[in-house]
Amino acid sequence: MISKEIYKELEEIVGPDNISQDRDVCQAYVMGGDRAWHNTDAKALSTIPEIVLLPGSTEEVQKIVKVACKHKITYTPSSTFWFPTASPSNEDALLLDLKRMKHFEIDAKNMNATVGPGINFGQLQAEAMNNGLYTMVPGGGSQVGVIANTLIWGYSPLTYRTGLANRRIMGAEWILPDGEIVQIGSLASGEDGFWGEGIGPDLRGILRGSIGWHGSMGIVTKMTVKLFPFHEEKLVPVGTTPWTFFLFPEERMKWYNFTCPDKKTMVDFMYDIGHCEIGAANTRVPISWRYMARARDKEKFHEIWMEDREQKRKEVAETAILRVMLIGYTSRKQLQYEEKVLMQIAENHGCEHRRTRQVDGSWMQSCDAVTMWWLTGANMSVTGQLDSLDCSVKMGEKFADLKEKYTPPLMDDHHDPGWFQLNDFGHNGYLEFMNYAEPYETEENVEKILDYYAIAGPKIVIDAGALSFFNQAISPASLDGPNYGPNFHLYAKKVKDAFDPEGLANPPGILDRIDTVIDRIPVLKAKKDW
Amino acid sequence: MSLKEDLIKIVGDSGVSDSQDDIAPLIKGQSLEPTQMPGVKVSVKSSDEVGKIIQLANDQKTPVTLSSSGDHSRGITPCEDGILLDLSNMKNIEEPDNRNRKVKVEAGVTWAEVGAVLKKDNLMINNPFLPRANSSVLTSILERDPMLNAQFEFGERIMSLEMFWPTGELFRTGSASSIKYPDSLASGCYPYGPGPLDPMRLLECAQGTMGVCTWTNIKTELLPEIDKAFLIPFDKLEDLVNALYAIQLKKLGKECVVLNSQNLATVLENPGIKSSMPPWSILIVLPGGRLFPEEKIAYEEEALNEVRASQFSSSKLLEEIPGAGSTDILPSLLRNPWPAEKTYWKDQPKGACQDLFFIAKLEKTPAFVDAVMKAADSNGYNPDDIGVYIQPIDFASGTHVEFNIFYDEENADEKAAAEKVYTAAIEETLKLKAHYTRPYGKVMSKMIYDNASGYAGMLKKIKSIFDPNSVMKPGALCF
Ligand SMILES: Cc1cc2nc3c(=O)[nH]c(=O)nc-3n(C[C@H](O)[C@H](O)[C@H](O)COP(=O)(O)OP(=O)(O)OC[C@H]3O[C@@H](n4cnc5c(N)ncnc54)[C@H](O)[C@@H]3O)c2cc1C
Repeated sequence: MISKEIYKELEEIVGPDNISQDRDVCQAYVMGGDRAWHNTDAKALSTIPEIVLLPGSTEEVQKIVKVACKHKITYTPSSTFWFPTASPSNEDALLLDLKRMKHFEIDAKNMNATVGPGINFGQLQAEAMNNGLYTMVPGGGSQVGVIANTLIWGYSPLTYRTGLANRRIMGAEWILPDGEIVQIGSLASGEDGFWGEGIGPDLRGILRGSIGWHGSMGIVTKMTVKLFPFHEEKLVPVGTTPWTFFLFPEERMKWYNFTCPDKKTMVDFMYDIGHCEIGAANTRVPISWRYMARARDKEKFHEIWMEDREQKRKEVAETAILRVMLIGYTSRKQLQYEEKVLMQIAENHGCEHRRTRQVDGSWMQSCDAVTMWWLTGANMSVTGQLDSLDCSVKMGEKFADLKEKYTPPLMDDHHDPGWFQLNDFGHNGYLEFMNYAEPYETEENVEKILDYYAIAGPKIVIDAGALSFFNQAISPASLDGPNYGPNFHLYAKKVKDAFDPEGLANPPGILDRIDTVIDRIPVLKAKKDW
Repeated sequence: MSLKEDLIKIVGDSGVSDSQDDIAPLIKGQSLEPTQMPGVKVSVKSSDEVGKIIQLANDQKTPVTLSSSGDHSRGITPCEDGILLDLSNMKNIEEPDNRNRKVKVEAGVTWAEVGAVLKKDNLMINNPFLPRANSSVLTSILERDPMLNAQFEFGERIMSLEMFWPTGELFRTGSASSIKYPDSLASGCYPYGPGPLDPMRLLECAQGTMGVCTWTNIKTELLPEIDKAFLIPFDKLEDLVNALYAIQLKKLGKECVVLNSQNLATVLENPGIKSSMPPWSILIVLPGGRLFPEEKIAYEEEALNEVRASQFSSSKLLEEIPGAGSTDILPSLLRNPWPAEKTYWKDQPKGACQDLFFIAKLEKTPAFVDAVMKAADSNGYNPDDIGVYIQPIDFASGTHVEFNIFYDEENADEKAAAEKVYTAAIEETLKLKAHYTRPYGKVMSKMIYDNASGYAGMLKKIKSIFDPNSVMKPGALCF
């Protein structure tokens, strides 16, 4: 229980309108239990915060962190609250809701924007496009915070051209767990944040790696992110919520769908696109997405997706659809050139070009992302594979086999090998293996699902020698750590202990999170054999 | 047992030497800073030996300085009496993985060596501006020598790497981090992590203070079969800046470089044509694609002409370099290291050269050039003799700004003037908020880190976590 005196101290920092201890207000910041998450951690850890604060400036955040350190109180930052680690995991915690921090500046000439934690991708993308620039928007939706997402993941099919998030972080203002501020990138030289590299060793190496710290290494209050050349023709919004889209200016932007003879051919096709240095995005279309698009609501989806399972399994095994986006960044002629190359590659591989609507509701500004993800009451991907496209494809096959052992309670997706795409102009690939389930399952089934995520899934990734960007968000560091690096967790712990010896920044922290969960859930603990 | 004997136990007799004659060529650099003599040089051939040597250095609390190249143009200043760990014999180049566009090279592989291997498959690694043929690819990229290709998509050339922490423990990054690697599904195509730290970023530009990198997987790219290159002349840098922003916003060309007349004449090895050169030039290469290469060049050329007409109509797209023939020579010039048999281009004007470089916004480059030229003028150095090279990075969202101060090492007055210009130029550019991402040498690093105490404070803390015995090049940078 946090004392009245400390409450007063905090109230003086943010003002009475921006602090609350009201149970109903605080309850809104719990992400677990009934909140449709099948993350093991959301279920096991999510705890109501003791006090919620809405700081409005860097200075206020810093003061709050210093008060927390002085009184040894834990604190959790939250920007747009789309991931369970944004909700506290222990009693007597402060929740810093950063949504009021809406600093926004765009430097179109030098292709960057400086944002506060309250700015989301919808806002950033709209302003970028107004300036002839663009960026990627995470698959989770354009409602998520730019800083939070760039710090922890940052993937979408558009990362084919806009690169991995680590490269989009430029200068940043960062409040360390002890309340000290460090300016990284060009901010350290007194410039604005246009550049990310450090003076000598690059401190972005402490800010994030293949994942971020999820609030357990301090709070970023401002970040400059890179933007990219786009084209000057407008994307016109059409439709009525929730069915809204952008109309593509077809001479500058176009979708191409291809039916490929088989998966192997499709993968070769994708490699060739990268080798020819064309395209703005290219991704496999999981068959369920097409049923989703057809169904328009959950009930209809389940009706058509579950009928004639044998035929569906055949359809999933035999259908290989590739979706490619081309953009004429330079000119209309660029699009014409790239289309010619694309069609040539398709012809070489015997792939058939299919008609598709020249609209987008997913990738440019993600207006339909939420509908797309919520096929059942709960979902969570079990791996996010980062390496070559071939590695993504093979891991997808392994997961499809594993998932069968857990279906039901997981929703049957007829042995689908996952969603894979090219990243980084084809230099690497990406696999996300999604799973859907109902939250109100029997205890036995819930335990089965928890085992799938926290133990069985991580084990097959380790066994294959692959790397997932969900490591530590889903899997225990005690299991992963010795297998990667090796012992990456021990090096990271050294850094964490040096900057946060009391462990006050969002405990248990990303390094201990899933181990804590496993210790708390008997069925998982019983399976701990490492 | 002495340090030398311990080292012999690890690498054998022939790999260890404390003779000044053996050591001197390895540390001969071109920097105005005086060089110190390490106690012993040890040449390694394998990762295993590297790990053992770093562990030994920790046991004996002996400082270690790394050397991978035959080139130390920025000066190497080894730690006195310490170990000079020579990685230049680690020469392995693995069979290029053309499906995933990468090649694995060890620390001692040079630009000339890897170029020769990749050319066979019509591939290349995006290279920096005319590196020495004997300079290490790994160190060049790790030390962030900017590549000439200004397109963002081709950046972040390191895809994964193997390293030893300063305590001597082996580590691999990104998707090469599985302990099963290389017998794993992942082939090392992803650079970051594993986990919430990114060791690669800490190694970058660390000048060997944060650990030893033994190999990297590096991105390879198509070596175009045909290209079209232009020289775009400008009288004023301000006009060039506007043109360059417009060109990069349209994503035109790959290699794109800005030189002043001094540097253009120097790299063309024809000092006599300097006066007929435009004061400022953009050199840009429009590459053909893998398929329909002429058509790719055609749409880019048309767009470049449109940008010229609307943004910089008083400059022309020249296919002739004034006094030096066709621009057709540019793709090959820009995609290769400086030929080993020729005097290095930076040594041609006066025998030696001190570089000064930092990162800045393109729009501020005229102010930086002005400041450095004034610093030269007021320190008895002819500003016209200073070479300038400006490299747009990531579509010119930032630029590498480089000044080449040529001097004659044998001429004490000239050397002294160069020294003064160098220090004054750092001071003046810091006032304009130059972002010195690569502070080489004690003089510069002190000035830079004094100016960025918050950043330096955190770096010191990180260094003490990973290098508790302070063995990796103590005294360099801010620790
Ligand atoms: C269904 C679904 C699909 C998704 N798909 C994708 C996808 O395709 N691609 C992708 O990249 N992501 C995806 N995500 C992840 C999602 O986009 C991220 O969770 C999100 O980007 C982070 O924003 P957030 O709103 O979750 O931040 P929050 O929930 O507010 O915070 C997330 C974490 O970051 C910490 N944090 C928040 N703000 C700060 C700060 N300023 N400084 C330091 N730490 C902070 C929090 O403590 C918390 O641990 C998906 C998520 C869901 C739920």
